[in-house]
Amino acid sequence: MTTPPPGRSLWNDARHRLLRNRAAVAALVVLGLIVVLVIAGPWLSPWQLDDIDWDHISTPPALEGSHWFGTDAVGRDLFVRTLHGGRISLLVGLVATAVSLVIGVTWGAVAGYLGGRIDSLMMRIVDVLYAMPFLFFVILLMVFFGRDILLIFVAIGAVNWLDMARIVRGQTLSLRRREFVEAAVVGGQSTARILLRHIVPNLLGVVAVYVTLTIPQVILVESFLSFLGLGVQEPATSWGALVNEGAQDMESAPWSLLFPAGFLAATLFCFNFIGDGLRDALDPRDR
Amino acid sequence: MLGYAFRRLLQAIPTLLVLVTLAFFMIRLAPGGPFDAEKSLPPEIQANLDRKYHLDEPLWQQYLRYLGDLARGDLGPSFQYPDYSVNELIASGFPVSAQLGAGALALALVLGLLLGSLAALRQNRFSDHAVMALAMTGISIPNFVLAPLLILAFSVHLGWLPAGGWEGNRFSHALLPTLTLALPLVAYIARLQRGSLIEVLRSPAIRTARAKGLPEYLVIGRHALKPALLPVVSFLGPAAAGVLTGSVVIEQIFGIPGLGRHFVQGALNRDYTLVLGVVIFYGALIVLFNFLVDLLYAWLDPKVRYR
Amino acid sequence: MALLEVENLQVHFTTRDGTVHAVDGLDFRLEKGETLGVVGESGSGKSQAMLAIMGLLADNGRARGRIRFLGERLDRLPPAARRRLRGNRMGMIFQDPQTSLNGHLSIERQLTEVLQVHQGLSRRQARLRAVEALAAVGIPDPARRIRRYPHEFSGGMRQRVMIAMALLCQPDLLIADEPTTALDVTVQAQILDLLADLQKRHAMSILLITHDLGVIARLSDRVLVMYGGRACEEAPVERLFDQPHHPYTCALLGAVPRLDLPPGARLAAIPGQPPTLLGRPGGCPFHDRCPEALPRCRETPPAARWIAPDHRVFCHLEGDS
Repeated sequence: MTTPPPGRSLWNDARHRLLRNRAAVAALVVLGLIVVLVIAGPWLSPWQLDDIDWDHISTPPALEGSHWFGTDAVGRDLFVRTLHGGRISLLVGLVATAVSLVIGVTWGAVAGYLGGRIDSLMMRIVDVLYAMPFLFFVILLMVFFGRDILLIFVAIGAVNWLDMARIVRGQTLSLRRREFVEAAVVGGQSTARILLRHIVPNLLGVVAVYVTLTIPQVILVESFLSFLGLGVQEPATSWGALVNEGAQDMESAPWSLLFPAGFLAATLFCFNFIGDGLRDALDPRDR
Repeated sequence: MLGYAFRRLLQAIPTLLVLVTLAFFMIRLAPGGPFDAEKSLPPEIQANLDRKYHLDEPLWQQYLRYLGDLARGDLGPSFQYPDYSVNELIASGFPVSAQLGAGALALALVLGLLLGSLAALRQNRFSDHAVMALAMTGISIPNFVLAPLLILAFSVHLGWLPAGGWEGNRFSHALLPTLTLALPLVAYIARLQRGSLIEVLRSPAIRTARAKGLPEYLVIGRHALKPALLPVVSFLGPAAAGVLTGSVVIEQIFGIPGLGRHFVQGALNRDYTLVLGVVIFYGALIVLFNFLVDLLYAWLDPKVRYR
Repeated sequence: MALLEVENLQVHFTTRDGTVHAVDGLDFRLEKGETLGVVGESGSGKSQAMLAIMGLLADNGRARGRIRFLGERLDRLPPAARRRLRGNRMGMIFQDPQTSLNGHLSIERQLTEVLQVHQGLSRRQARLRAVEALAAVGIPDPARRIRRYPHEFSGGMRQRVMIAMALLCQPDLLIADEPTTALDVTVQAQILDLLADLQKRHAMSILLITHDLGVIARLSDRVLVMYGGRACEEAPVERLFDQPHHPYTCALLGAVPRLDLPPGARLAAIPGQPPTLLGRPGGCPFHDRCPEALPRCRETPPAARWIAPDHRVFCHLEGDS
């Protein structure tokens, strides 16, 4: 009797496929390196975020000496500034995405599960909000209510939850009709319990994909704001603000543009690649 | 089809109302008034100004007054340029932004569809991987990063194109900003089109078309392209919104006197009416565009058209 | 000369996990005007064999062997020549008419293009013939209905449209891949009768692929049973049902639910699972599920053995089952 091939749970299968995707794995590695560098890197350097080295203004990157990424037009060490900027950019990415996640998943799951009129109403609201020119609202928020980092988290997160809500609602709708959910309903479990124990775990796959794709969007919005001068307050900085500064000194010190820009682009690249890889891994269709 | 159009139109009205209300109250509830930036004014002049601009009335009354003006198409006077009304400012800035935006959208569509289709037809071969790698880069590089790099390359080092400014609609001035604005969209549309076309080409309907012995150009051109376009058409709405938001930054970088720049200036100078006016104007534009896109989609998809 | 002669057909697919051998040495003939039913479960290779004959394999698929159609070697023809045969001298209809018809084009467009491409008809001439074709398959009010889109038709109607489309150029061969599987039972009978009727009128041969023995019984002259990419048994339809020889055929027939079984009796199922087609298993593909397997069955694939002039089995077992 031939043995049937060993069964693989959905997660195992997905993980297996993801790991076979060399581009995604490479992206994971690079991203990991960036994160490690951003967290631990500043300790390696003697310079602080806004220390000015009067002897080394606009110096190019060099391996000897202590200014490995060079200095900007004011004499600040670019290595430390880039990595600190990374901390802020990544932090905003994670927290704002978390905000998005919570709002979006809750909204979508509730709408998809309850169905009927409530679902229609909730989705109509999403449709209406979708048409709002959100970046403008965020700009307004930043200008009029001050540039508090908490506000940034909330504002950006509140703006990005719509896609997540739509996807989650779609998944929930199709999950709700599946037999195991019907069994739970018939068995008398409360709505909240069903949502938590049956629906949400099955959403994880789709949500994981969207989280990895939302993080770069959020980082992008934050860098837009910083570029316009509406992001985090000095002395904190982010990659967007650094790009803004670097662009102004582009001709005299191009590295002050290239390093933060490179890190920003690389991070976005990696997240997008990983998100794509996850999406392919979870969707059992050969590409 | 007419009924469908009418229903979508009706749905647009509450959307616009929400937009106006949200924007109005958010701006009005912000701390600080429009004249705080100036040196502190003597109280009588402050009171006069308040009265002139109705800032002394209760908020809900200001709101209703605004709605009334809006219904007549009057967006009020600008606070930072008292000689100009918001309508005039929009009228001066919008054509520039529209040109930029429309150009970028058109370019993005043409290039994106071409590249995406190419990649799909040469799936897993070198041209496919090349196009997709390019697309991935296009999505990952923000336009405010790309713009200075392009300026560095083409303006400073090569001297082929001007670094900014906007003279009429001279091609040399329009090229770099339009390109920069279009690039992330090209990438997105290319990816979308590739995925969509690949999926359509795998569908049973295409197998039937081949089983009928149709030449490949008919299989692709007549049977595959139309259904493949649908996701791209759906994307046009968000694409237009993306062009609008992207233009804010592009106009800053290239010094283009468009509506995006007016908006940023207005926000920094607390010009309430201008900012509100631009948000509403752009929002209404997006709603209108979405409506047109819905109509286009319905026209393309017989299942929606003949219900 | 037979209409279709297939000799040692092999179809394999290169995938990331290895080579999948979907069809592993298939021989059969089809005469003019007869219907050959091809029976097998999913994974038996029946659909892939048909797609190979039509020249419609996926990009990662390759076919080997000799395929002769009206005496001409199909496998030696350039792709353009094969394309000209498709929809013209050989037609194919598929399982699910909802997805097999293009939802974005009108029925008229999908019908007339066949005539325009293969017979050079003008749009108007093609339209007239298309309307006639729709009438011939029993679509009421065809002149008006032809402008409609597939989603405006019911399932049975859609399948009739597909049949009309495949027969527009009066092909000599029609391959029907599970034509009734997606339809209601009552509609199934109508479609099968329609096919029988059209076959007589056009003097056409039919290759009928299905997993449903009832369909086979109704429409076929001869039956070919496939398993794991190979043929098991081939016989005229009554003989197959009366005197099946191959253990798989017997099991299939035994597994059909019957009304005269005593209540509470278990339905007979064939234990085990179909073979994985990855790599090339030696021996008979059925050996691990066969209740009477011999040691030889695992090593050598059985050759054809003729039990009667028109009845052959691929099995190592001697004697009747």
